[in-house]
Amino acid sequence: MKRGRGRTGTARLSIISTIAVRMKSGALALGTGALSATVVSCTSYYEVPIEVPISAKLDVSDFNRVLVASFVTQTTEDLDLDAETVRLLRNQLRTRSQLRVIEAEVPPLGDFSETTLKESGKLEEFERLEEEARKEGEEEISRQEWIDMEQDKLLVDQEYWRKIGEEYQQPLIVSGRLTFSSEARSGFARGDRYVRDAYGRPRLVRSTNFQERTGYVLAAEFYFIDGRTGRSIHRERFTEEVIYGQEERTSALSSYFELMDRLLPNFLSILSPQTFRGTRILLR
Amino acid sequence: MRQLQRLRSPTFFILALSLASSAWSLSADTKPEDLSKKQVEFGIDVARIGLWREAVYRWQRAVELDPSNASARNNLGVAYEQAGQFDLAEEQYQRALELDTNNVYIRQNYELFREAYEKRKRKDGDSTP
Repeated sequence: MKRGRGRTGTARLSIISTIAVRMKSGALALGTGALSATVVSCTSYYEVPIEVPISAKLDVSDFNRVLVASFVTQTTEDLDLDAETVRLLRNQLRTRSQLRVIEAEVPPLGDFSETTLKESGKLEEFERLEEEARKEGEEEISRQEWIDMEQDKLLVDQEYWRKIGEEYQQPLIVSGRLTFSSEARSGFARGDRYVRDAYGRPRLVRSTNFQERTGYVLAAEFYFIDGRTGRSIHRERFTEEVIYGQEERTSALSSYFELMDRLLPNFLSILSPQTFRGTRILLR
Repeated sequence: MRQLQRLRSPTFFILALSLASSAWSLSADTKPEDLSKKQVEFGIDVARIGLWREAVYRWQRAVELDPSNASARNNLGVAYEQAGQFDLAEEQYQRALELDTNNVYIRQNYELFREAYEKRKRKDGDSTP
C-alpha cells in the first residue's frame, strides 16, 4: 500500500511538478507580458540600435586589383615613411577590401626631407633658382611651396603612371604624399590633483604647470590613379596629430603607427563600403 | 527545429499578440490623429524586430493621416537614416523639430545625425577628383 501510495505519490508529484513548470512558464510569460505592457504604458520612447550603410566614395568596380605604389615623403624623423606606409596599406587592403593587392617593388618616388635634399644637391638648386628669381624681380616662393610643386610634378605625371599601369595590367594605383614630423608642444597646462588635508579629507588643487611635450603630425594626401590612363581619379587629404608628455618617451615609429591607425578607417572608406553603428530614439 | 522552438517561446507569442492587437486596433479608431498614432505604434513594434521597411510604410501612413505628428516624422527620420537616405532623413528630422521644438529626443536624434552627416560631407569636401 505504502509502495503503491508511494508510487501514486511520485506520479502525483510528477504531474504537479509538470503543472508547476507549465504554470511557471505561463507566469513567466504573463510576467514578461505585464512587464512589457508596463514599459509600453510608462515610456513614450524606445532607444533602437541602427546600422547606417556608408557606400565607398570611389567607384572601383572597373578594377579587380590595386597597386599601392610609392609615396613622396618628407619627414624630420629617422623612419622609412614610404616603405612603412606601402606595407601597412597593402596589409589593410588585403584583409579589408574586395580588391586583390599586387605585391611588387615599385621604384621610390622620392624623399624630400631636408637631409636627402642636401645630399642630392636639390637644395642648392632651389637656392640658385630663388636667387635668380630675386634678381629678375619675380615673386619669391617658400621652400615648402617649391617642394610641393616638385612633388606634384611626380604625382600628376600621367605618362609615368600609365607606364606603371601597363606593367601591372592596369590596376588601380594608390600613391600620394606623406609628411611626418615632430614638433615641440611644450607649454603651460592645467593640472588638477587631489591632496589630503590635515584631517585626511581629499581636496582638489588646481594648478598650472609647465609641461615638456612633443607632438607628432602626420599629413597624408592619397592619390588614386587609373592604371589604364595614368590619370588621377580621386585625391583625399588627412591630417592627424598626437601629443606625448616627456615621461611617455614614445618613439617616432610607434607614433607613426598610432596616427596611421586613426587615419586608416578614412582611407579604407574611400575604397570599400563601411557601416556606422549608433542608437536613435523612436517616439510613440 | 530551433525556429519552431522560437515560435513557441512566450516572448514571440506576446510579440505576435501585441502586433495582432495593434493591427486590430488600427481599424478601431476613426479620427485621423488617432489612426496616425496607431500607425506610429505599429511602426515601432515592427521596427524593434528589424522590419524597417514595414515601419517606414507605417510612419509614412501616419504622416499622411496627420502631417503634424512629430513622432511619426522623427521615426521616419531614423528609418531613412538607417536606410542611408540621408537627405530624406534630414528633411524629416527638421520637420519634426519644427513641430515639436522643445522635444529633447528629437533634438538629440537630429544632432547625432548632423554630426555624422556633416563629418561625411566634410570628408567629401576634402577630396578632389
